[in-house]
Amino acid sequence: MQSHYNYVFDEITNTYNFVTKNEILYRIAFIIDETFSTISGEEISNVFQLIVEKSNDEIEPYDSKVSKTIEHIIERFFQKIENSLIYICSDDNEKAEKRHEIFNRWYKKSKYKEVIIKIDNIISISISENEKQKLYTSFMFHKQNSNFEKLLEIYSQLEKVLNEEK
Amino acid sequence: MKKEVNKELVLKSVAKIVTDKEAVRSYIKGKTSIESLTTKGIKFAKPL
Repeated sequence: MQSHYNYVFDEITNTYNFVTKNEILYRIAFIIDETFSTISGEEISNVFQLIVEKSNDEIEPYDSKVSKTIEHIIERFFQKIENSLIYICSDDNEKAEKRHEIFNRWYKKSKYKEVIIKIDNIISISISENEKQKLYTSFMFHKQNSNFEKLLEIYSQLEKVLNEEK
Repeated sequence: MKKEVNKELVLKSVAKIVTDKEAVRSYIKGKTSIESLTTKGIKFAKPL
């Protein structure tokens, strides 16, 4: 039996959609991220942010096929070696750390860790004058990406600035 | 590239990653319009 749900690209919402056995609709969006271009002042293309969200707030019982489906999408995404990915775990219900751990567990078990580099960074950003939010971020790219060195260099500079802020 | 990175620019860029994500999540839940995302400069992609 297939371990993941079938998903389709919805041309109206511009998201990859799938419906679980509990009839919950998930949408997965890739948005173009220009952070690396902005910081470096150079054109760095094929950087995307991944966003996974349910279409409503319904609480779903654990369903392993959801993460398998997301894994499948990420694996397909990296079939194009020039692609790179930014992923931030949401802190809904203060579960960002747990989500980050789950994502990390997937990566460690994945055969793709041989070819996909994942760099994690936990950063604090100010969301108001007195309030800071902790962000669990991951940046992933293919070892054969032609911008490999450039991506690493920009990321390390970015990381340096952010770590100064911690 | 070896040039000094503008700290303010980095912080602004990272803040934009976060706000873009929240805007898209809100859009997926039907609470934000696509026009609002376009105004923020958010561009969807179909990389698969």
